[in-house]
Amino acid sequence: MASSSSSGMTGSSAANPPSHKPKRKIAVLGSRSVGKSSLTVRYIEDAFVDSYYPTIENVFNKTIRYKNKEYDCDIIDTAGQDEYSILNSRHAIGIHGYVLVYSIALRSSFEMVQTVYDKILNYTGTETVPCVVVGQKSDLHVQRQVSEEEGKALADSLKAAWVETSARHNANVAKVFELMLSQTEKGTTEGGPEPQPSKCIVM
Amino acid sequence: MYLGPGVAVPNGPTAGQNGLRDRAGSTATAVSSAAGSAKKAGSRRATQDEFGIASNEDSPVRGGKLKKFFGEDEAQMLQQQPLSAQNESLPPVAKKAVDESPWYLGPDYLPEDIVISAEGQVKGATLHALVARLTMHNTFDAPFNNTFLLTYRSFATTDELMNLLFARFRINSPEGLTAEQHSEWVSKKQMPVRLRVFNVLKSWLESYIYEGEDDRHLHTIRRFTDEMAHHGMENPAKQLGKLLDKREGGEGLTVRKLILPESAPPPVLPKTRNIKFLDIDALEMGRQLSLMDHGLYCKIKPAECLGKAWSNADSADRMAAGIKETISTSNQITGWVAESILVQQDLKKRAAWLKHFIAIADACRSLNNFSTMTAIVSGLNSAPVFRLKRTWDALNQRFIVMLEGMNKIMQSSKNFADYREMVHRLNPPCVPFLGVYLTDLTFIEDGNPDRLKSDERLINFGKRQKTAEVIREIMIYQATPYNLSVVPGVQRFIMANLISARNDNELYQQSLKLEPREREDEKISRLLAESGFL
Repeated sequence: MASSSSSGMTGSSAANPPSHKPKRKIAVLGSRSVGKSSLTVRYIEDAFVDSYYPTIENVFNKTIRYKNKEYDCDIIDTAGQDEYSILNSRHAIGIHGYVLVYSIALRSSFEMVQTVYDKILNYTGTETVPCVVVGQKSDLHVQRQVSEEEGKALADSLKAAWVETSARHNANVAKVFELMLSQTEKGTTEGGPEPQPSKCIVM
Repeated sequence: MYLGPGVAVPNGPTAGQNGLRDRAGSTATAVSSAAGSAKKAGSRRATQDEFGIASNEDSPVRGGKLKKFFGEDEAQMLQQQPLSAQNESLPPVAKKAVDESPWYLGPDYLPEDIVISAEGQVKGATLHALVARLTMHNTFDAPFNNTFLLTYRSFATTDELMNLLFARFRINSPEGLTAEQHSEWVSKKQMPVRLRVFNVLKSWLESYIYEGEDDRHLHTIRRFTDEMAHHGMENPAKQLGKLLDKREGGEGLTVRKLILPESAPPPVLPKTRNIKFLDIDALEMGRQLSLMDHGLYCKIKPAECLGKAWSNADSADRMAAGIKETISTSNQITGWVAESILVQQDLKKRAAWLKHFIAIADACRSLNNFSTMTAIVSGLNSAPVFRLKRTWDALNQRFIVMLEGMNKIMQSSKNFADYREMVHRLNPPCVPFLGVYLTDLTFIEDGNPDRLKSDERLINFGKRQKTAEVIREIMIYQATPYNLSVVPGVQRFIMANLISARNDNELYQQSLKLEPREREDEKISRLLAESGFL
């Protein structure tokens, strides 16, 4: 396994007492078998271990340091529930930012990103939402079906950040969440207003 | 020490120490001895785990339990026993046992073929060692056997299991035993192992067989019962024979369900023959939905939970029929809610439908039916329904509060912490929202390797342990049925309305037609017009 990401972030699985840290809710979405759960597991458990037990409260809670400030992040990943037609509703309330994952080796999963994005906008009623578009499984470059340029172009059109990752090789995994915070904190200044999570704005 | 099948021997000499005293490297198994006796504490803990209660291995609670069972010193030893412990540091119980048990009564696996945690749980082992442990002559680890039988299909075929069990029955005595030693071996090892094999086959036939796909194994087992009878086990062979008859006669699994008193609450029957949605009592609707949804939930089998079978597009229909049906019904309920609200042209009617669905969802909540509740709430929260501001404004605040309460239960924060707590605290009957289990199973599957990192030969049994904990929790809620009467008319009405919703975009367009987008100034002029000012 490759060494952990070179990004400047530090994280710890937190069972922290309630603190003054600003809270951010991040949802990880994408079609099935793009490896989104592996991405989340990889980020939360810095190293792959033999035993990982996800059902205990707080496992998806992580303190992320960004620009010298700590954020109490709740990462919401409902992998395994992809067959439910409920994405647009339950996962939109109170979310600050979205990680939209596709597999570079699966064209259809890339096309889903736009669909999922549109669904989110349908729900939030806003022009844009903070997003990071993630091309997962970059280690499968032999089977690549989506070029880097296409990925970037899509992200640009969504005014989102973009990165390719490999959960298997721990490449760029932490970068995803660093970019996510750069998106949610865009436009916020020291002492300025908190970014608003998406909520029901009726169109 | 063998006390008959199914009897735990908490303090007896257990696996590890036997026969290994002269060999170096008995470390892992040596610990298993201590842990074997910690079994009682261990199995209690397993129950806690099922309920998702954090059970930190070093927690004082566990220490306390150990103390209760073994007294202060040993509890400490058991807790601190490192995997690399040498025989010198074995707790007294184990040491004594080492001295008592002759080598020919040792376990039938090599120390390097199994890794056992300090708590006595198998972390990893070869298939061969797992089956040896499943049919161990001198210990009975009920949670282990249950986990094995619930999950073996993720690492072995039923053919392999059967062949290994039959081979286990044909266990040979080691060479060089005196006549006396041989008869001790027969009584303390061969017979117990054979009875264990019988027991495993029995419980497999009772609870773990899959009707239909496992049928051909019935013949293999039947042939094997002749061999059993031939070796002096006529009665067990007869017992299995009876079970086989039942299975072959198409009799289903032995489902252990609570028998309910004849005290179902009287149903609220629809007054007219031609049932109309708004006329059906919300509570009765919730009851019938709960009966139906619980029926679906009960169809889910353990193997469907293995290897993310439900998410494999090619094989899900075959491998995970129960889960698929539960999900598709949930989606149909969501579709029904959205469609039937959006089809109402009149705002007042829309509001009435909306209200009734909220009341029905709330009735489901009161019946602990989080499955249907979530399906209905998802329909109400779907973008096309959610944006109907004018319809929502027509609702009494009471309904808004009800819906908010339900949204709060199902909020995904902290990995559904609120919801989990609620489900663990309630008394069944209950239909849990399956999605949360599916997410847990997905993370267990993707977060843990199938084989141990340290030794690829060893099946990661810890992973199966965790999978089995989720399966056991799913099964807890399958075991208690609702004490309610079926109202066929209402169930027929529901079935007729379960539809696949149109695609999101069409529903959204429909929603825009009903209540067009309006700017703030347009809204103000509309409100003024509606109130008669303009």
